[in-house]
Amino acid sequence: MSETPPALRFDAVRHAYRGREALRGISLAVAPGEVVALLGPSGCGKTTLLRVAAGLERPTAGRVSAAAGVFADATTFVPPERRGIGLVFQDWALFPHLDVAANVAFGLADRPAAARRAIVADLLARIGLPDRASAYPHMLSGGEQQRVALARALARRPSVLLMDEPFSNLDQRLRRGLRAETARLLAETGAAAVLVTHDPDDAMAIADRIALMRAGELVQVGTPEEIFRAPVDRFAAEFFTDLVVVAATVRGGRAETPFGPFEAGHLPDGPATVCIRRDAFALGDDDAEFTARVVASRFLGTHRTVALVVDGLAEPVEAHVDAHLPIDTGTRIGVGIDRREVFVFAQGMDRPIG
Amino acid sequence: MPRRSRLVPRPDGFAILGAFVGLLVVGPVVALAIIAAGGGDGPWRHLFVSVVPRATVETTILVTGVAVFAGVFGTATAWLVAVFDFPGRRLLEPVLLLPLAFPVYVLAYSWLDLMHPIGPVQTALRAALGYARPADLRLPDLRSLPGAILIFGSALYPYVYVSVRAVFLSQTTNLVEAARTLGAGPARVFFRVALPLARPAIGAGLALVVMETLNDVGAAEFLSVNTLTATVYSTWVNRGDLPGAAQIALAMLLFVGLVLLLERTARGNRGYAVIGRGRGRVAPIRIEGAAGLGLFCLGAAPAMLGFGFPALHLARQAALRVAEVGVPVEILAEVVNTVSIAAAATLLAVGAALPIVAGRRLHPGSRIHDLFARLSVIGYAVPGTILGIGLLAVYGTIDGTIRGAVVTLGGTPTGLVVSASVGGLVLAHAIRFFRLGVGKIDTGLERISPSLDQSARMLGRTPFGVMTGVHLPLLTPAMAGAGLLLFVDCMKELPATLLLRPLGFETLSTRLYGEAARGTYEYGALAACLIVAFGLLPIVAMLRIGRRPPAPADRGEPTR
Repeated sequence: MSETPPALRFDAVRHAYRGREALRGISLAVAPGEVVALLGPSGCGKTTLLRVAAGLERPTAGRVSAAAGVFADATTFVPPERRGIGLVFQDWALFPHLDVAANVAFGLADRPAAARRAIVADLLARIGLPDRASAYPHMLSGGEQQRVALARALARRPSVLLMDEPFSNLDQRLRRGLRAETARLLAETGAAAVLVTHDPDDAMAIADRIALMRAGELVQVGTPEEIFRAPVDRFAAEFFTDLVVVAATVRGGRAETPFGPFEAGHLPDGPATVCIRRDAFALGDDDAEFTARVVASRFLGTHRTVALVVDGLAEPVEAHVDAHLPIDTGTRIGVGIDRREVFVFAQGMDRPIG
Repeated sequence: MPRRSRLVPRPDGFAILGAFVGLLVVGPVVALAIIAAGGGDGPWRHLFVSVVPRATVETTILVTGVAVFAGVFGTATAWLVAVFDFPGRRLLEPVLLLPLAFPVYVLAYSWLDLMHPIGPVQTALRAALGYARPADLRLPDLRSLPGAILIFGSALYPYVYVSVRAVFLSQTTNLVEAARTLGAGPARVFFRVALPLARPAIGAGLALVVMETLNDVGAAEFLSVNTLTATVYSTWVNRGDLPGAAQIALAMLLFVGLVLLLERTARGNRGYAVIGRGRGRVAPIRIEGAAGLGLFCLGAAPAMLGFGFPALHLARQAALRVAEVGVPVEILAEVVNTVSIAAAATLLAVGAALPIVAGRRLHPGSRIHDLFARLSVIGYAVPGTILGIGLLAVYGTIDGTIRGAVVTLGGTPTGLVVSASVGGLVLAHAIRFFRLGVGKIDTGLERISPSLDQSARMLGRTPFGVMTGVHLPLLTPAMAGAGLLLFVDCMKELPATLLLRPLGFETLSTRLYGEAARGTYEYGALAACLIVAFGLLPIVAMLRIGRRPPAPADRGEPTR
């Protein structure tokens, strides 16, 4: 990866709009053919970063470059139409006055008509809509519109494809199918892709790497597994799953909590925060860490959610446990914890989401 | 439960009021048809042969020329301020709206005075070029079709600018950006994406431009253009030939109908609406230096023609006049007259518009409520002169009936009760501009969720109770906006006022018309200034609403 230049590269990119800083120094490189997801809550700047890459916003500082050269820095600004980058808009932005074929062919104005027709036919076949060429956007379903928007952006064979919340306007069922299809199309064309999403499921399903953002900064960049297994702070952990969060005191490399002590060799003595994924708890475990009283239980199909009253905690703890295990409320029971799902963060690394 | 027939609804208050308003609006048109049919033979044949064809040709040329001028300048300026960023763009955006403050007849009046052989422009030109006498330097006369097209176009292009700019600034933002990421440069973006998508907005703006052109009486007369409207007016006022005027008026209504039909067709039978969310502006293309200054001047030109120069001239003339003889006493009476007529008509129209619009909403699917709501707005499509002539006939009939009844009952014959009365004049204004009230209130109502109506009904309110208890308080801003627009349009109204006013009753607009007709321009400057000053009010209001800064959430991803 070090020999080939990145398909897209941000160096200390900043962007401010009316004095409000949306990007505070982002550095990130996207390798050719790689799919990177910009993941983060609303307002974290991920869409702004995408628009800066597309040339729809000009960075206030820093540099955006690609294999072909510099897109934007202090002296250069390549307008969007000359960047050779594809962008799929959140609302797909299909031209309502043009039919599907004309929409897909829009970016091919410089090709001969025959070549244009061939490219359009090929792409429509790839997205499974070969017979919808003369339909107008309003006649298509949401999923079909999304696929046409994707085909339109890919028609110019961009080296990088940008996607803004590509699946957010679709229902859950459709979403899963389109994620797989989009991943396949990207692999076929070999384009690098950057997609913006607030949904960790989208990011994990399609991205090679995730760039987690908060308040205009990158929090953590890594493969989905790296981030999920080793979040750098509470925000990174909490973005993927719900957590049980308790205050703890570190003494001699161990964090003392009402659930028992946890390994915290990397932290000095003093206050800390312990985050436990809700599905780390196992009821009736043989090697129980602590005991708790079950005060509520609800069957939810894939798992069962229980409320546990734990000595030393004011509020009951909500845990997700095996759905097959019958639970009687009111009973006192031993509870085990999967330590791989427990994270101990120093003070200052415990900012919650939002 | 048997479904209640919606064809014959119970006659509720909403429907009764609707029927009344509908009758008032349709009455004048029906009256025109009756009079026109009654004027069997006589001088009218001569009229149709000698006057109407020429007036039709001149009207067609004027309307076409004005539409082209306003269409090109309105669209071009909208594109300019939406897509480019150059020094002074922020100033230009509101300034381009200002000609809306000028009724066409006031603009024509000011330009005629400005360009008069001994007016400031020609005098300065002669001084600069070294000519001694007006006869030595002859500029093309403004009083011609090309001159009229220039004046009408400068006054009316903002109708296109406003509606097209809204499209460029919001609905097409994403599509323009999409086109750019697909490799389209500014020219291709404009012709392939922005222009086709703006077509309905251009059509809507042009329809207003054409209607205003057809409505005008004063400017055409000042500029010596024989439009159909001017012909209708002079046929009645100068020849006293009501059937002849009614016949030309009917022919004109066909013209108006044709324009509206064209607009519908131009809008096309599109099954789509422009979707896409407003992200504010497209990231603008920066133009600096001399090129930027050039763009600014290009954009400012129509605003200077339609507002800048004439406004300065009027202000100067008015100031000179006041310094010379003080504020004339009559003008105070004229202001009082103008404001009272406009205020009364506004209250009447806004007050009646709410139940008409709310009645339709509260009786979904009821054809009768829908019909009355549709009928109530056609006054706006009827040029003021035609409405005036029609109302003359209606009022005359009413007065005749009253006199007949009084005489039958043995009383002394009454004079005119409705004709040439202030009440009749107010009613005419209310009918003419009713659509403004209905339109604004309708838009306001659409923003109120229907579930509010339904929950109010479930909590025991009658439809009337929903209107007064739910709609009215929520619609206060919309009604205030409607009222402001109505008020100003009433203040500017000229043709219907000329036809229907009581003897000796002067408003600002009739005063201006009188002075222009006499050629004593300087005496009308103060009245013109006042009309323009009032005309600025809704523009200022519009700008204040438009200047609300976008919420931060509008910029980033939508909150969901």
